[in-house]
Amino acid sequence: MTADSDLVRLVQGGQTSAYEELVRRWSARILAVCHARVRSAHTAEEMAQEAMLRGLRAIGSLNDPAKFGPWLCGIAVRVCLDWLKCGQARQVSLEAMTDDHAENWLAHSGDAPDQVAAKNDDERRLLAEVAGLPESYREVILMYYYEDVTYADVAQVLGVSAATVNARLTKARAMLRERLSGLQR
Amino acid sequence: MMNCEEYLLQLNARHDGELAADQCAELETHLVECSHCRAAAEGFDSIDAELRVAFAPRRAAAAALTDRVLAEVRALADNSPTPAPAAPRTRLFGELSLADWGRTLLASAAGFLLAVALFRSSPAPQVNPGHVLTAATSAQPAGHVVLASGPVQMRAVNQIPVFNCPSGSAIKPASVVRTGDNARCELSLAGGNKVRLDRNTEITLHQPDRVEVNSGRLWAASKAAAPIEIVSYGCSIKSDSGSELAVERQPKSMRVVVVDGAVNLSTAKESKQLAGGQQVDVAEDQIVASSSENDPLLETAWINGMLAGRSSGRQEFGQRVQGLLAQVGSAKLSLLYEDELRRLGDGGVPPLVAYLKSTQDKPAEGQRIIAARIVADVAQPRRIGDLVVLLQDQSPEVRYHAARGLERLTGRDQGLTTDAWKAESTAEEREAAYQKWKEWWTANSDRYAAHSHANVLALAV
Repeated sequence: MTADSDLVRLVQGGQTSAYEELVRRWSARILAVCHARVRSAHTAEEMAQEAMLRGLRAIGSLNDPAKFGPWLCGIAVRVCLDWLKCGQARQVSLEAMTDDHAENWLAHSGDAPDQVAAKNDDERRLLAEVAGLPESYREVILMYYYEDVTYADVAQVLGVSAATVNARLTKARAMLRERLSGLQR
Repeated sequence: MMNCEEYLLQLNARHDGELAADQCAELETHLVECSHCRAAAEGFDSIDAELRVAFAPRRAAAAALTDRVLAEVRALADNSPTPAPAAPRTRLFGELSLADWGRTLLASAAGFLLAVALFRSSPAPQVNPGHVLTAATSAQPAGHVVLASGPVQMRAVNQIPVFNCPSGSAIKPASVVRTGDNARCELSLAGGNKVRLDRNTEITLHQPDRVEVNSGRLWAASKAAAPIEIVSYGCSIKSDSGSELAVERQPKSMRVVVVDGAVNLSTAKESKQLAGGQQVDVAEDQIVASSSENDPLLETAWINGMLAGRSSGRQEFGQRVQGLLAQVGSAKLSLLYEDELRRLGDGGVPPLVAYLKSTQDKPAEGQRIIAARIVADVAQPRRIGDLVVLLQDQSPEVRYHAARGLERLTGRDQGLTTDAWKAESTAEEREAAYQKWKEWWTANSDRYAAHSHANVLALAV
């Protein structure tokens, strides 16, 4: 498999089609990063799309091609912060992230209304609880379940160690189990 | 001595396939003694399963996002060799030029016509006329694609439009699912059953409990509480209790392999109860014992590659690898079993290492030496830590093979030749060499791609 760094160099040399493979590899992770920050699934998709296109436009400025993934994630974070700052966040407020508004967190423009409505209560409640996790735990859950990744993959994106990813996943899963079962500690 | 909080971290890592093999043994010992951690292990399994189901639509959304971004990247590439800066976009379609739209539509039309041609070229599905199809309007999916190694396509029965199904896609009842030359996939069915499709296989998922094999090979596992019916070639295979089977549909015949459990096979002329281990061929409504000399493990070896490296398939894969290993040296076609283990390559190393760790009390057992030999021959650099740990095995043969593997991967022997690990060295010499290997790996593990962080930690203890 061609390394990310080689693909980046090809793009920087004018072969834009090489960016397509980078998109395939990173889109799910970028979407997870965006989703962790903006919480609305639909908005996250728009942010992720914008981030990947900004990445293509700015790729000439990437000095270390081997760091493409973390660099692109940084772009995604800035895109999300820009969106949150400019007031559009009022459209989906933190207070809206209750069980009753889990659809905002779930909805994708491609989902038919009957598909959204058909998600059972347990799934809706679970995703609402994920939305309510502290950011560092929410982020690692989203990254781990959006695609098939290893701890090393997640660690690379988040800039932490694989042991930290393990610790956060352990804690996040434990919190979700507790919240779903209604237990108090 | 670790406390339960530390064991919980290990449990979590083990669940995700991220725990070093040598740490598994100590964890297993603790689980025997600690009910709290056993309950936690079950909790990890259940929350993980729930999260995977809940995130399936998100995975499909990620795949759709990829397609949209690719379309825009291609449009930008067509317009300019160095894409010009553009304003932040919130709508994809409104900003494409007329020429972009023209190219996009032409490409879509070409792909659509090609998909129609591909589907129309395959034989129409044979539906048992006695079965009434439920209208494909149910909001509940019949299943989800949980793993796809390549392009998987789906269309509704009696409809033309074809959709790509990446991992996470929902499959509605009365859908035709098809794999191509380079794709295998696993579907999780509503109700808890599973099916796996080999390359070039087409099925019709009528309902979560009724699957028709139109062509190719299917593997299915049913739970005791969730019966499943497989139909193909005018036959019906029913499993009312937990079972595992495979079906291969040929143009004029069908093979049924029962891996485990029991199934009832009915044709227009006869009906038979088949038990685990049995294989039959069906031709012209007659059921005969299969001419194949392969046992079910070899007949279904094509699913092994789908299990290797997956945390969710770890237990099943480990059982299959140990089943293959048990036949090496004892079965009539012993070489076929060893060939399959070797074909798995580095993906088969974790269960073999786990087997070696779990059988330390039987150091001289023949299968251990075979396992060590295979590991030495196929392990990739990320397994160096496992091989170093095996240098402390009770069996001289296992130590020898571990040293042989290390020399192959690193070009080093740390002052003790591979043969010396077998017989000629003293315990002190071996301990000294082992410590050198440990220090070397701790200092050099970063140079080797895709090693596990936990692997390094295992040696740091």
